[in-house]
Amino acid sequence: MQTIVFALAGNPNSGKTTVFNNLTGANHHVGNYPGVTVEKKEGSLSFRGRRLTVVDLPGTYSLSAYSIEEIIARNFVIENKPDVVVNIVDASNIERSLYLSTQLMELGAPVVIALNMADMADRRGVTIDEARLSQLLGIPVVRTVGSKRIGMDELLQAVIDTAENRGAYRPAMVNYGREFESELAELMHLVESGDIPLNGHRPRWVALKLLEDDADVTGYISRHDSDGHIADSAREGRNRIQTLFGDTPASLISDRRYGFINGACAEATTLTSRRRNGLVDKIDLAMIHPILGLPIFAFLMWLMFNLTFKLGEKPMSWIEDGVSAVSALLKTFLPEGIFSSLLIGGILSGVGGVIIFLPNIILLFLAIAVLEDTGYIARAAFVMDRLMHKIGLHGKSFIPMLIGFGCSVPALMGSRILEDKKDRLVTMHVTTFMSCGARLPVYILLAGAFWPRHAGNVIFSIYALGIVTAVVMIKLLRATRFRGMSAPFIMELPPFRLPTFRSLLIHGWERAWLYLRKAGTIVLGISIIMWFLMTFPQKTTFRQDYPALIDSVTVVYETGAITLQEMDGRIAEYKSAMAAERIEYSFAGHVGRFIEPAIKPLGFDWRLGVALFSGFAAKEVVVATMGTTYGVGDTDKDSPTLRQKLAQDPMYTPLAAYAFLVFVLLYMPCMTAMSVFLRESGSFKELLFQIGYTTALAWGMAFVVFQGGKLLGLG
Amino acid sequence: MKPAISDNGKAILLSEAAVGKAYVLDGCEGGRHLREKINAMGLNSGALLKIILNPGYGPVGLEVRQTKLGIGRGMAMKIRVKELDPTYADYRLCPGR
Repeated sequence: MQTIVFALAGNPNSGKTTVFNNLTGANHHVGNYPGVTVEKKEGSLSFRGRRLTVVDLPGTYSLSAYSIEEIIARNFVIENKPDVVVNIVDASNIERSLYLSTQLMELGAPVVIALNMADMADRRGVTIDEARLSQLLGIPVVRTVGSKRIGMDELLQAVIDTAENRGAYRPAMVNYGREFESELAELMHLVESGDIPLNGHRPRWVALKLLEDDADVTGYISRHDSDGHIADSAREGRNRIQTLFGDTPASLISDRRYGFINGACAEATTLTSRRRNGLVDKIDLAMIHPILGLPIFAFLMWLMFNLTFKLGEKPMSWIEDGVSAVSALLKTFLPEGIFSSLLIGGILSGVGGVIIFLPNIILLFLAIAVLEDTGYIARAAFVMDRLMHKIGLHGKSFIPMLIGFGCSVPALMGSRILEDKKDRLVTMHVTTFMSCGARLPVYILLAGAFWPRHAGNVIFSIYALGIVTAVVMIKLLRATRFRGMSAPFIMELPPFRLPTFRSLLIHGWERAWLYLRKAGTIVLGISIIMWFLMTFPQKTTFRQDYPALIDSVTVVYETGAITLQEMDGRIAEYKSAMAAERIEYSFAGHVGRFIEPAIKPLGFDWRLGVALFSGFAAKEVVVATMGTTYGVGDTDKDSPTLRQKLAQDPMYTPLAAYAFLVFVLLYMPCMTAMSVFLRESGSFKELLFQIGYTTALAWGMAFVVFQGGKLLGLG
Repeated sequence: MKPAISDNGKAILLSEAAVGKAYVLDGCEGGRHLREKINAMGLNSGALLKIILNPGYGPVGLEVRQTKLGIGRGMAMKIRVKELDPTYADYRLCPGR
């Protein structure tokens, strides 16, 4: 039995991925802004005894593609030639959407239209007669509502029927007018009579592309046409049309296509009422208002990061208590030794230290999901266009940058929506400053330890600093390594939508699962390595005989010379001094001592240096390593939490802590982000530049914060 | 019966168009790339549009074929529009005109 391959093509934001998820049971990311999907995705399913493969393509407005995701979509439809192309058409936006349909219909593959979000069109007062539309276009039209899984079976049936009766497929063709059609017929004849392999493309399509002066098709024909007479005839035809109509064939083609669409829409759609939601329109206008827009954006960001901290505080402390309880329990039952040290000091302090922040991570991603699903992200890009234009990019760059608040990986990939190579590289180079979710645990840990009352604002200040740094760096990069003008800016503002509960639930669940998986794999692995590096080689002789000192303190207490509290305090001091000597003697201690001179001017000791170093693997590991540093050698049953330990540590001042936050914000991206950076930029040189300049900048800024703060008397 | 479209005959740049008014797209001075791009997004000559935001700096916000678009100022300075007779303005902005 043969598998039917069909592609989902359509304008950005028409709901392709939602339909794809419905058909395949996958849970791919969807959102309400153009450019959520930038890579094609495949899935398979069986339906009524047939096997089908479905390919979800990035959105595109036309088959004349310019940006990378559009080229991916175009190439798949034109070169891979799926058995059927399902064209997802946003019903509430039918005229513009059908423009791509007219182009798809001219290609070889049979097209089935899924009239998606039909419920929304109804609500907006546009009723579409799909039977009539199907008749006018000569292709099947199926009504679907992706978000409610309506029409999926009918769509699959239409795909199968179309694939199995290709002979019956007779799409209507746009009539380009008498003069134009006769030019077209002449070229078609030349193309057909020549022995150029057309690879299954329709001669009419090839002729049309020649008249349009499409670079790919014209180049292909010129390479295969030995005496060049087809290319010559095409050029003459183009000139005749230009003289006759005073316009280029390409413009004429697009005008006639819209004419065809207007005709079809006039017959197949009725306007029952022109209902608009006045309040939504007003909110929308405020969001993109030239004066109000920026403060609204700043407020929303402040709200997002504050809520992430404040709402997460309680559940975070529950998990923290849970981890402490498990630690205490293990310390009671496990005999002291290497095994318990690994389990408690290494794994539990490391992985447990990271898991504590799960509630904050879920909240952060829920907030980002709300921004994505409502359509706000495109508005923010619109508002930022003016500023971005001044510094040498345009507003669209802001979309991947905002996604970077979640994770740099989709942000780097999202930069594919930018057509210009330089625009894209500059955007990729600053994406890392849009502080990702993995760095959030470090902020929460330190802000909570040193500024418990203002933690939310301290965290927001770090995010704001990231945005400002990105803006300054764009300007600098544009003035030095990437000179030139940015590509023109044009972007759709998708309609405001309320996020569905289901979509938010999926987002939250997905992120929670990813975070826990990361904690269970990479963080676990690095924690074990860090524990090993901090435990071995083991020190046997110490500067002082700590066990004897502890015994003597106990004896002194028994004589009544000191109080119980004093005794406990001294014992704790001796124990921590012993642990410190041990860890200094270890591999990690040696490495740390080695790098310490480099970070001393920033106010960091070697332990922070080791934590930063381990953050290379993943940013959450910074927290895990700090946990392990304090966890190794800590055998007390009711030892304080990591936050309390940090706050009590005389080595660290709030000023040094802030310098550390600045360093974590700015320094090189994690391993995964770097590999994606290399793949997306295709240049090892750019990757090295990215690693080098971010780390140098992190050092410089942390230096300024720490030394400047000291000069001002803040240290 | 559909009333005929009438504009005021005077072409101005999109960057100078007034908020709240309706216009018909007259032409585009840009290169081929730019034209193809705006055509595919619903802006071809003859398309009817309504300006929703134009503060005189930054991008222009407009509505065309039931979609809202943001257009950078540089691009808006390459697009010519003519003001529509207000009697027909709203009518032709509807789908299935």
